[in-house]
Amino acid sequence: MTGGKVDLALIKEATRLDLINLLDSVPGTKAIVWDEKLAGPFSLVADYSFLRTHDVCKMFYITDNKLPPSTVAHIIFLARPLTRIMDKINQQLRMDEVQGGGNNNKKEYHLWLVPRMSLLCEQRLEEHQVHGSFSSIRELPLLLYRIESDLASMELPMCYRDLHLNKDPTGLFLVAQALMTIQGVFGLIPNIFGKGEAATKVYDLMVRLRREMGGNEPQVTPQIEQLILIDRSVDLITPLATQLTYEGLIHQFFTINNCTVKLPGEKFAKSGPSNTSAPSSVDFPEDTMTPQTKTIQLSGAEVLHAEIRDCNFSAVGPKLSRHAKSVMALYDERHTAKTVGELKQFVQRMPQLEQYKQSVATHTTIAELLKEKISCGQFRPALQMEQEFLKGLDTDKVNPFIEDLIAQKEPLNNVLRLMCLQCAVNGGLKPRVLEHYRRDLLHTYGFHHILTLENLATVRLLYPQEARSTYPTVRKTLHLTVDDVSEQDPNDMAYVHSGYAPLSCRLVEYLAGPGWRAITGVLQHLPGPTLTETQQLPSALRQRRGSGGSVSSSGEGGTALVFFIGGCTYSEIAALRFLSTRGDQGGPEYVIATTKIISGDLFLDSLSEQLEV
Amino acid sequence: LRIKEAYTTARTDTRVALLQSATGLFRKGRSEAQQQLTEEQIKLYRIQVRLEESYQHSFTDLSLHDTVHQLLLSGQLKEADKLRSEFKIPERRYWWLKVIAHAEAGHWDELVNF
Repeated sequence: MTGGKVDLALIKEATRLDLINLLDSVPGTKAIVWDEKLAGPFSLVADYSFLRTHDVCKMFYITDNKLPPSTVAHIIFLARPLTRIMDKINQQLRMDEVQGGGNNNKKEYHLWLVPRMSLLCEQRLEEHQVHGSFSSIRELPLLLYRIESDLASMELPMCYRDLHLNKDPTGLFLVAQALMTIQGVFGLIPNIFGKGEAATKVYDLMVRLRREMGGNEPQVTPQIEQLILIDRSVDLITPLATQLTYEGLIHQFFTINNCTVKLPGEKFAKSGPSNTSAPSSVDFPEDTMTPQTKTIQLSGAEVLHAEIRDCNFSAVGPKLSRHAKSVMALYDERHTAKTVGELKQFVQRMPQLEQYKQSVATHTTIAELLKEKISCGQFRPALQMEQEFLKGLDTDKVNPFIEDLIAQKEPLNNVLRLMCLQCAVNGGLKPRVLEHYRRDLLHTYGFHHILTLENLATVRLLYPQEARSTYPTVRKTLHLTVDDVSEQDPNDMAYVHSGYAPLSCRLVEYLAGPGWRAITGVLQHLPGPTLTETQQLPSALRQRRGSGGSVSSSGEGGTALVFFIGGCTYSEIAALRFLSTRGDQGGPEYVIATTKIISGDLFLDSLSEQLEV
Repeated sequence: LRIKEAYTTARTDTRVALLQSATGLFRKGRSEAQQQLTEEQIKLYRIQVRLEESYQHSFTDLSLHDTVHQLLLSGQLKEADKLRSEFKIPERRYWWLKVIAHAEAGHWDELVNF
C-alpha cells in the first residue's frame, strides 16, 4: 500500500497560491469586478475574508450598469474569455473612465481571464479601442475546483455540447491542462486507461504538453497509480437514468451549485436564521437571496451529510430517524448527569450537540421536500418505465407511456429523457418510431423544438437505428442490472439507481477486477477506441514500482483518478465511493474529477436550443 | 445543417417565407422527414392566421397541441375536429386533450357524452 489517501485539497492550495501571486502583483487597494458565473466556483477557492486580507475591498459584478464610485487604486475585471463579456467590460470601463476623469486619483485597470487568454477577446477589445486602457491582461489558470476531498470539478457545463455538437476541442485542451496540474501536484501518473474518442485525444494532448515542458517536470513521487479517462459518450445511459441517491435527487430537483443548494424557504421558517450547519464559505456581499429561497451548504465536512449523501433515498429515512433518536438520547443525558463533573462535560459538548441537532433538522426537511417531489406526479411511473427500459423490455416500439406523457404535456425534459433512454438502450430507434415521436413532440411542444431534436440526433442521443443494438450483450457481460439489490445495506453499486449499475463505473470496477482484457468483446461494442498506456517515470522516481509496464498488476491498493470528460452524475460518484469502501478487498481508492457534475435535465438543457419565441 | 440559420432568424411574418426556403433546403438535403414537418408547420401558421381573423384570439406561436386546446376551451369543437383530421392527431392523444380541456373549461356535459 502506498499509504495515505490523496486529498484534492492540495489542488485547492495550489490554485490559491496562483491567485495570491496574481493579487500581490498589484500593490494597493483593489476592487474586483466579477463575472457572475465565476463568483460561485471561486468561492470554493477563496472566500471574501480571505480576499480582504489581500487588499481587496470592493466587489462588483460585470453588468450593463455603471460601476459604483469607489476610491480604490486598481480595478480588476475577472472574466471568462467570451466576447459578449468583453463587450460589457468595455461599457463599464468607459463609463468609469468618464466618471473618474475629474478626480485626480488615477485608477489602473486590469483584466484577468480565467482560465486562459483568448485571441478573440483581445481582438474584440481592440475593436472597442479600450485594449490600451488595461495596464495588464493576464490569464489565471484556474482549472479544477475542489468540491470534496475526493472530488473536483472544472465547472464547464457546456463541455459536452462543445465537444460533440460544435466539435470544438477547447474543452479537451483544458482537461489535458487540468490533468497536467494534477500531475504537477501529485506526480506523474504511471498507468493510463481510457475509453472513448475524447479520452484518446486528451491523452495525446497530455503527451504533447509533457514534451513541451521538456525536462522541467516537477520531481514528485507519484501518489496516484492509475488514471482512468472516460468519455461521456461511452456511457450515455447513466446521465439519463434517474439518480436515486440522496445527493443525486437533490441535484436533480433543485440543482446543486458549488456545494450549495437553493430550496423553497417556507419549510425552513421555523429553524431560525443560522442553519447553515457546515462551515460556510459563501459570503459574497451581493448574494442574491430572495426571502422565498433558502441557501444551504452541502459538504462532506458535515458528518451527517457525508453519511447519507450516497445512500439510496429509501435508506435515508431510517438513517435520519436513527440520528434524531440519538440526538434525543444525548439531550436526555443531562437528566442522568449527577456529579458536577458530568454536568460540566455535558455543557462542554453543548455546542457540538446543538450543531448536530441542527444538521439533523436540516436534512430531515430536505428529505421531506424530496419526498413530496417523488410522490407527486409522474415520478414513480416514469421511474418504473425507466427500469423496464434498462432491463431491455419492449424498447423497439412506440411506448404508450411516453405518448401519454406527451399528451399531458409533462415537462419536455422528462419526456426527452425517457425517449433518449429508450433510444440508447435500443441502439437507436426504428425510423418509424422516431418519426412518430418527433411529430408528437413538435405538435405538442411547438415547432421550434425541432432544433433541439436535431441537436440530439447529432450527438447520437436520438437517432434512427442502423445496426442491431449491442446493449443486451453489454448488459449481460457487465451485469448492468441487478435484480435483488439491497437499498438499505448495499452490496453492489447498482443500488444507486435501485437496480441499474452505471456503465461507466462498471468499466472502472472491471478494470480493477479481472482487467479490461477479460471484457474486450464488450469494449468493442462501446463507441470510441480503448486506451491503455503507460508513462515512463523519471528514473529517480522509479524504484517504487519495479516495471511501469505491467498493465494488469495495478489492481492492488493505491489510488486511481477517474476523470469523466463531459460531466458525471452524483450516482456515479456514489458508485465509485462505494467501490472505494471496498478497498480492503484489493481494489484501489478512487478520486474523481469531472468537467461538471450533471443530472439528466442539466445534461439535456446543455444540448437543447433555446429560442425565445 | 445550414437550415438552422433559417429558423433562428425566423421571426413574425417573414417566418413563413423563411420556413419555405428551409423546406427547399431540406428537399435538397434529402431529409424527407424534416421537410414534411416543416411543411406541416407552415400549414399550421396559415390556419392560425385564419383562426385569429375569425375568433379575435391570438393563436400564433402556439403549438398545434395548444391551438387545439384553446379551441376546445372556447368550445369550437368543429374547428378542433378539423385540425385533428388535418394533422392526423392520433386517437389517444386527442382523447387526452379533450378530457383535459373539457375538464378545465367545465364542459361537464361534454365529458359525460364521452
